[in-house]
Amino acid sequence: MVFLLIFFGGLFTTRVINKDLTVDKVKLIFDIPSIRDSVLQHQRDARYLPYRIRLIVFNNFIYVYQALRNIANFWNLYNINDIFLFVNLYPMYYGFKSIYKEKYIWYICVLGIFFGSFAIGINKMVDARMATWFMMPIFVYLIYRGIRKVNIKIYLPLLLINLLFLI
Amino acid sequence: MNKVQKIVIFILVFLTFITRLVTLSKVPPHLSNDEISIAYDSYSIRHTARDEHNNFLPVSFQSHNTYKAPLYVYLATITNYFLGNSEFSVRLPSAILGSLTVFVFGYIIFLLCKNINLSIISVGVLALTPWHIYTSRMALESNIAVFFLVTALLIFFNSIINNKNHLLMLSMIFFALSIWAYHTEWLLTPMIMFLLFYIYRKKIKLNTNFWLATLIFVILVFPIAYNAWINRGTTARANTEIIFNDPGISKIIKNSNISKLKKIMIVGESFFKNYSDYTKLGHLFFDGLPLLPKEDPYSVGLFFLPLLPFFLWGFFKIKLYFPNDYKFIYLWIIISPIVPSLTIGGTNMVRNLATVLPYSLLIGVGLYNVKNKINFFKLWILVLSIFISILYFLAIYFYHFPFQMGENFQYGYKQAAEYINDNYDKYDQIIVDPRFGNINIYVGVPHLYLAYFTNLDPKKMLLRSDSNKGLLFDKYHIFEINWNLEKILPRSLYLVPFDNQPGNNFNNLRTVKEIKLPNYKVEFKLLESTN
Repeated sequence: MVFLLIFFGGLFTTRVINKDLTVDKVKLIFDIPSIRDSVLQHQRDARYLPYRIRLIVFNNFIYVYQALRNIANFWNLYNINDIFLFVNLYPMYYGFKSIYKEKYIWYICVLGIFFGSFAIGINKMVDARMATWFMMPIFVYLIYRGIRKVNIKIYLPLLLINLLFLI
Repeated sequence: MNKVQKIVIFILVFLTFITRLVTLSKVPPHLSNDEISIAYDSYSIRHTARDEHNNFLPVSFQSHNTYKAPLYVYLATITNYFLGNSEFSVRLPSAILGSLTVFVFGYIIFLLCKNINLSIISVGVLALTPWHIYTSRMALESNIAVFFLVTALLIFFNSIINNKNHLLMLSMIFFALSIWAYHTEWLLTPMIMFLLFYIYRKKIKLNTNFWLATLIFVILVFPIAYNAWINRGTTARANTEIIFNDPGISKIIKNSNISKLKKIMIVGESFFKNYSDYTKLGHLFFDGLPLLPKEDPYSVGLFFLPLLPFFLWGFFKIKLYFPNDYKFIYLWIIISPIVPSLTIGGTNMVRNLATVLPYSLLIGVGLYNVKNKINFFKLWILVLSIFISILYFLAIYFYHFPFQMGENFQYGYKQAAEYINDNYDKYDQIIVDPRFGNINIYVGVPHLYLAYFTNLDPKKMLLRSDSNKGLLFDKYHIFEINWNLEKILPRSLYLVPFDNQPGNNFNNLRTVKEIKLPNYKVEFKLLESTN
């Protein structure tokens, strides 16, 4: 239930799912004409392969690759800074380490981030940062778990500098 | 070293050279804008000691007003002397030095960690990385700069680990050569040198050798630095490409109503955005390599996708294998993308090429650490996925890339030059429209391609005139043809783009050749006068 909430919440905040709960398919990557055209073009062009093999190599599975690509492009330093501040990667690292042995919480956090990222991946929007709102409790929890292990003399000045740049 | 290791090294040597030398003149399909500039300048320097723009033995090559670093051109004069004018001749220095980079890199890893298996894995990663293969197969200054930089690092570490202080002088020479090779190294090399001298300060003896080495470096770098200084206001490359020249940022900086602090914040944010773009996983593992059009989903990353988890895992394991040098390696990873992040124009994997070394090391460390922890079945899945990725990259690079991207490399000019070469005496004038592409959207540099591939005497190019009527040299006249105003003279040859064909009323012109792109689209036509 939690994962579905994060996934559909991500789609809702980016208006893929409207207030009346209808799905705006145009905002999903499955509606990009250039992807469809590229699949057909590569099927035509790849003459070094028998035709049946071309259909296996170049097919609609490319949408999975495109979703993963969007996820990988989304989780960059700039967006991370905007979402929970770059400096908070430091306590989050310790947070992840501390929950590693608590399997139940580990799976909630990892799968929660996975489902939220999937909502970003299938989204056509260039800026899908709003989709991370439903993941924020996970990020806050991880920062909370890791904040006791950080070196405050390093963390606080970096936090101040980070906040200064945000203003 | 045991027998298996020797066999693996031999295979890697073979694969490294094969991937960088096979069909070097065919893929990429044509010399690019930058390559032809280097090629022609090396040809011109060889015969006249002057570049295309009549500058005598320049320290900065004017090119298409992009002001290139000089070392590659001078190296290419050597291959031009032995091999003449060809794609192979101009790309060979990059292919050879790119191949050697792989082994120098591997030797550095071994020198630092004394772990031959880790070194072999890291060499394997770099040898087969799409990023490095792509750049080693083009005449790119950045590729040879990486070679000189990594060789300098090897000699430096050799000097401090084996207590051979005299080698510092040699390492300084190579550091200086890296600065002669490419603009990114103008800042990157001094940053790396500063890091090295600070981190290893206790191991460096400040004796005569050290000061002599420093003096050699300063002397070698002086011509480049002096040239950049006297041209700082106008033509220096650092001036044209720096982040302050971005139109939006430039406007803000000139606005006196905005505080200095705010201006610094804005420039800082722009730099951070660029840095973020250069380091994002999507760029590194999904779409960083420009083999296909931007909107094509079948794009290839700078590294193979199955290596992504090992890239991340490697971050946490560096200290384990490099207990004495992890500080330098972490800082090397962090500072490598800084210089390209200070430039405008979006992510450019050529400007950022120096980063391929520390990133390959990260992946090598990640792979090595995991390989002993996973079972045989998972290891085979990993090997299979990497193998499939390699096959996919080879198919995209050797087939789809030249097929789809020929136009981006101004394909067709060499083919036109071949026709002109065979029929040169038939014509009194050769008129060339420099535009190409749909609706003539692009403007090329046909004068360089035609002069290079017809082996035109460079002295004729030095006598050229360039006015609002076009570019004139030898029999060539290059300008945008307006058929409504054009008078067809006898014994004329026209090279025109497909989207600027003469109308049906031109009875005194006939097509002698259609030049097609690798995807069979007609790009140019050669027309001769029949009167």
